[in-house]
Amino acid sequence: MTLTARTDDPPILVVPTESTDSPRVVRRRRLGLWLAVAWLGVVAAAALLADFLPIADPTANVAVGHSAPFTSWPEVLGTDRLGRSVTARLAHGAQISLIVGVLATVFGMVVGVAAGMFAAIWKPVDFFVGALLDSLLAVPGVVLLLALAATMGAGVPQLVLGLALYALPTFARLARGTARVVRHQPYVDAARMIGTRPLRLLTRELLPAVMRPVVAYAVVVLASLMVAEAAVSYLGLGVPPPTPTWGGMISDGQSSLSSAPYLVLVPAMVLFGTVLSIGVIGRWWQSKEATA
Amino acid sequence: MSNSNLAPLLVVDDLTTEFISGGNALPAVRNASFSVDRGRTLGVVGESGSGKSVLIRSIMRLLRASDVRHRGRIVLDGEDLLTMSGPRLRATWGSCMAMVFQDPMTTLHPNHRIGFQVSEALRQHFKISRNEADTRTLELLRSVGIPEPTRRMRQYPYELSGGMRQRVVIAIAIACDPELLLADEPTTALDVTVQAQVLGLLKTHQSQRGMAMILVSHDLAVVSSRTDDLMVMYSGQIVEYGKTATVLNQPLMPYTAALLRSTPSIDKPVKSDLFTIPGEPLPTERFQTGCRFASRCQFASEICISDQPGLTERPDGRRYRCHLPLGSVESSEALKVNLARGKTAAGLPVSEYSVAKGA
Repeated sequence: MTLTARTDDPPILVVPTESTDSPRVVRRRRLGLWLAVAWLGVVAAAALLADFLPIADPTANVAVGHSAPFTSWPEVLGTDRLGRSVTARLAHGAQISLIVGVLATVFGMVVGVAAGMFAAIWKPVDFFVGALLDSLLAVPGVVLLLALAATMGAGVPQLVLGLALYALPTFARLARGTARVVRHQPYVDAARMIGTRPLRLLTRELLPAVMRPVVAYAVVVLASLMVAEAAVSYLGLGVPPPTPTWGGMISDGQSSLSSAPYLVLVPAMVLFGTVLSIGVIGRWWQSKEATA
Repeated sequence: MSNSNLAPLLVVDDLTTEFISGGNALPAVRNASFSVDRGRTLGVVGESGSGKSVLIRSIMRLLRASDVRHRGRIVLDGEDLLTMSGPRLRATWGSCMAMVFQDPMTTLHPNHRIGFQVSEALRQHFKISRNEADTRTLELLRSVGIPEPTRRMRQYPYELSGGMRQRVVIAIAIACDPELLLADEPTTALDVTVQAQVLGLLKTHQSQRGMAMILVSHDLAVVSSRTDDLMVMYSGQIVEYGKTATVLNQPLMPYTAALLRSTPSIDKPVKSDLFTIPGEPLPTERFQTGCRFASRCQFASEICISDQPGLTERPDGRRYRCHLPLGSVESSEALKVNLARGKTAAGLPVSEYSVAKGA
């Protein structure tokens, strides 16, 4: 009787998939992805096993003065100005880099998503959170970290807190925006109509939908926070010496840049490779998310 | 809770729903009054924009308080829904009244399994263990005719067809044995072949569980065979109300008659023109001195332009909103006058041809 006969296909947006790329591009992209995963695996393993690997103590002087990579055994990557093992310092530095990066991202994500979602639901919270985020955004990241280091001293907890605060506003905005769209979805109304309590609506109905873009974005944030961590260590506001960090190593090597450029180059390459790998994985995830 | 089982389950008394937009109040439903008895099915028909969905959503209290203003009373089982507190309303949703939405593609959460979504409804209202909830979910899915319910429980909505999804939505709606089920065009988004199955399913559960049901549709065929009473809405108003069979066989309001004539019939010759109602429906928010249908009505006479007709009730319970109800002497007189002058009092051209064919 009715004239509107529709198909059973869900009325989703038609998003062009990767099919527009040639097979060669797709193959190359896949190779890049695997290289990224492999490199991250090496870094993560080095960080996890740093204390158990047969490498030198990162703070002990195993040689006199610096030496270039591939010139001595067992210090394949050479030694720094004080004759400390670069291999050992990179491995232990990976611990700090990953711990700080991951913790700051997770804290920023959890607090940011919670704030953003409450802001999306309740007007008074929206005003309060909005004002707070705007004032956070008004403070440049470096200044924020400087202020934290000046008032609370330098250390891993301060670093995590500072970087989390730095990442928080973007997470909050992303979560707020997504939640505001999703809360008008019919399935949220449908859930209300079976008597679902507001908090449960938030966690069961909105959260799963909000987390999809947020998690994809978090990977990109992780990469940028690791760079930020290195930058802060470079400025001497990070974890105090002699604890090895990648940023600290770059900063250290700077003084002998002309005589021993590899002291800057090696940790910088490691940092670059790690951030690039995380970025590649993050992009892949986001594109997968966009077509899903 | 209930005063008496003889009292109507739902009483809507002089309900006006207005949308608040930039300081203006735009009415979408105007002064609606009706009631639904326990175990009965009320059909609501009308064209797009007549206020059917807003009416249903008002009863369900689904519209956000920041967007709308309700006036009047909506009494379910002796309690006014419009003055109900949030927690009380949440207890009512699901267990006392439930809703089946139009589009099953978007009413199920894409990230949760079917089983979870059905048992969620149960666990909101009953203190039962996960296992008990799962057992009842299985029974529910089986009762709405879902094959292999054990397997379906572990599936996600995208793995199910539209018809299957609407069955799941129905299972969720009836999970807590509501006394009133509101179905807002439950089959509009479905394939024609599936429509009959889903409607039959709704009807079966409605009579088995003794639920009252309000079935909204713009499809007369859908309501004609599956409802006890029928309510016709036009431009935000109830224009006709009565037993489904009598309303369809003997409409009193010209709009109902025109709506019936606009339905394609399988008995007519294949190439015959479809009757259409001239003009466009009056937007619900627009103010009108006389009858809201007057500008499109072939019977319109002077009184229809000057005076707004009230909802007249006949002794047999039939209600209509018309100065010149069909079948009355006044009605045929008015048509004669309009034919003689070639147009209605509202200026709509009428001729023998247009009376026979529509515009």
